[in-house]
Amino acid sequence: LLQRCSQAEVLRASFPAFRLPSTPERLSFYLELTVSCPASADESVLFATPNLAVQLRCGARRLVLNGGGHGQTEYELPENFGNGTRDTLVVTMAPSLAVCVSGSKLQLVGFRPPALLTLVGNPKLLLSGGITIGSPADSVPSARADIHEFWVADSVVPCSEDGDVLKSLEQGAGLNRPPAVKEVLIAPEKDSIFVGDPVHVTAVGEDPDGDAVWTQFIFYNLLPEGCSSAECGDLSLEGTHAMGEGVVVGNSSTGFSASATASFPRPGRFLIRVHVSDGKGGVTYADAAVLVRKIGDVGPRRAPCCRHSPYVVAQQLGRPVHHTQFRPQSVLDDGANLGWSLEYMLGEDMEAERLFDYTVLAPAASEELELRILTCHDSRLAGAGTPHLPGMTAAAKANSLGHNKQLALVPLAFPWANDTTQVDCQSHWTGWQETSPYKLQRPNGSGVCSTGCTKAGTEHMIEHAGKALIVSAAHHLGQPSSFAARSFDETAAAVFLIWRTSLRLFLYIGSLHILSLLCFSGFFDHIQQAFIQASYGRLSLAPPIVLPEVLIDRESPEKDVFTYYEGPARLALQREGVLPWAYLALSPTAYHRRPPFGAWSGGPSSGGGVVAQCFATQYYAMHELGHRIGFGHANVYKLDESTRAPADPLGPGGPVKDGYSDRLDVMACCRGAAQIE
Amino acid sequence: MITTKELIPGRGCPLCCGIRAACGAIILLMQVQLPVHYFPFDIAGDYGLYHRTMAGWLSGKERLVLDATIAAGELDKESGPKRLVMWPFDRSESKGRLMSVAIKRLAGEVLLLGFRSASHWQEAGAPGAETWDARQNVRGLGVEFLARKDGSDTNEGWGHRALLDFNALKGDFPEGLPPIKGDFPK
Repeated sequence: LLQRCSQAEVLRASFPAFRLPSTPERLSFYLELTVSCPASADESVLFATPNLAVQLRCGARRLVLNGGGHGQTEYELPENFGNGTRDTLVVTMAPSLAVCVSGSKLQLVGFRPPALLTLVGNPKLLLSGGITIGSPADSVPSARADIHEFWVADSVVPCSEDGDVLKSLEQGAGLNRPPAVKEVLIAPEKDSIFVGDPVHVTAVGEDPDGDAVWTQFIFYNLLPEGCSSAECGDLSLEGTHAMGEGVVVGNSSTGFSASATASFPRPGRFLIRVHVSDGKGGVTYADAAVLVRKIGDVGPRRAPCCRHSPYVVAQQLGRPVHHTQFRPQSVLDDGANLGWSLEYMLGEDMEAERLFDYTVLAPAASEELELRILTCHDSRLAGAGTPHLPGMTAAAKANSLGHNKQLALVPLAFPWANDTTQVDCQSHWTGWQETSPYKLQRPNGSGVCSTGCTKAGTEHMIEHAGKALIVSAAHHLGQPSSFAARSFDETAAAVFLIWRTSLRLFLYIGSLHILSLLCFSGFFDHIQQAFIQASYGRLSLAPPIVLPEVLIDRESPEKDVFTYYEGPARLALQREGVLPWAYLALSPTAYHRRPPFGAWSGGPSSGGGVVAQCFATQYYAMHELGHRIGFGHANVYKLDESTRAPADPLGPGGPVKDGYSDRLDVMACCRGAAQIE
Repeated sequence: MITTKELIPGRGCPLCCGIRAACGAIILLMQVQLPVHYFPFDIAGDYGLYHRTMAGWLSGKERLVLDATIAAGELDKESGPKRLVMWPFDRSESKGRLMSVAIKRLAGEVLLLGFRSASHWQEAGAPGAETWDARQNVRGLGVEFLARKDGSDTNEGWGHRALLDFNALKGDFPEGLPPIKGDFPK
């Protein structure tokens, strides 16, 4: 038995349901294993389904079938089981429950709860969540055993010690031939799919044995309909089949055709994968990529495919781009107002319009269809005695892994404020504040601002960037002297105009506010793409849920200034029945309860954070969501006032810390350059 | 300035013995593998390969943990030296493999070696040049160092991380030293 923390020591292995029998009437598990089961060993799990665990209680010499709420039943283990010899274990669930070790049927201890018998008598239900070899949870250890053979059979495996049982299983499996996908057809045709269009996918193939096949179509990045849980995963549709009906693939009697339909609400390159199983262990898959264009992207210069980064080259920042429409008239008008000629707007090969490649969201097919093994090495940074990796533990991996994680945005408002000295009254170049129910007139007649973030404004931020910019920018053109007195985001628009005429000026004046111009395709798309890139496709967000604005009283029993903002946001989520993976509360600062930071998060256990901006910049949003994942800051160390390497790295001239500055890091992802703070 | 509550004890601690050891180790590596003028002093802390690994974003076939026998060269007595290749993830030949190698040097010391390659918006070019219209592919090797602060077996017992970053932050041919005082290496 392996005692080291190596790649050979498996903590758990999981086998996907898709590869298991889909409609079994009988069900047996056959194992050949060498178990270490001394009396001192803890209770441990040999293997489990989501609703049933086969456990060892070595001290009591018991094998237990634990069905949780369905009850449990125990069997007496033979004396020599677990002393280092190779044993066979057969657990037959259906049609009747029986446990056999090395040819001997085990004695039942106590009784068998009826609910448990009902559970084990339903093989389809048992197998519907796949199988874990070892313990699926961190709280109970896996049994310590070398497992030489593990078979799942849709038959009754006899209780016998001779080798014929294994031979029979091997022979049965060897006779089965897997299905094959010959072709995946996409309609509409290539390069003619636009946002919102129904996309029909058809997989054509055959099963050489003529088995009925089970197909799944996975649309990576698409949200399953009606999902409201913290993690929704990708849209997975069961295929509708026509076995041998009008399909000519080799022997037409063994051919199949399956299809599914979905539409894409956002542009980009997406991957659709079809899984095919014959229900006897034979599986295959095929991939098809579709390019979904913005509405109106019909030529002659179409948006190029594809970019893998959310960051566009600097010179194109701020160019009006619509998130679902290609160069609509409103965008051309905006461009004209900003100084771009129509010729440029129509002719330029725009980096900012390049379609994002979401296909990285598709994992290696082996991760979905094969036995997935978690070794001790996988769970530790560098083997025994080194830090464990939270992302590889059953308890903590939901913090950092998963697709379509729910994000909730909670706008906070202070309706009692009647003076701009009470609250950091907010405005934005989109002009959103003009329609805010919490708007106030700024002193000196310089427009209005809002003492609260609003649901409508937050939704505007998610989807749009560009049109309203022009209103504000044009306004500034006429009143250049107002730059200095304006708020953060209004200044951004003004600075943008300066940049058009003087690059150098922009470098030193505009860098502070360039962030708000980064939202070339909307707040959500941008942070979504940044997380997808940084995680190599292992983390993605669902389109955010925006709550109605939450009104905060001036006086609050909360002594903690952070809770003054966080508390009402959390209560609102609870009240609305929204349990997101992460929340971001967007709020002006109330000066009588001024937090020491512009944004903050209490880490994974807090479930989110607060950003003191109604229109959160990408940097702030990414940073606080990074804390929600569990990340620390992206500090950089640099030489202190020197251009020569010191003799002693820690001596004079050695490195000093520069906070929040590793621009390759998600935690400082969008600060850009030029010492942006 | 954006900032947050201090979340994890020990985070953001000053440079100390861990950095010193890391610098020593990497300088040794550089002496063997890199020209002198690539002396790296773009040292990042807190996050990078370490956090990506902790998050599970590098898993399975993208990581390799060398156990003691490989590190000591005992595995390759017959086949010769072990050669490890870290492919960039955005190239088809990488197949997602070997982006990161973890080496446990001693019971309380770990080195993380990684390769990363990503398109990244940034200004590029020589200092002073107006070359804004560019996006570089940022790539290179990084090495992070961890040391155990105490005898506990918890994650919190580890700290003093540092990162020596060989990445080309700006341009294809970075210089290891800052061009002007107080600046970053280019």
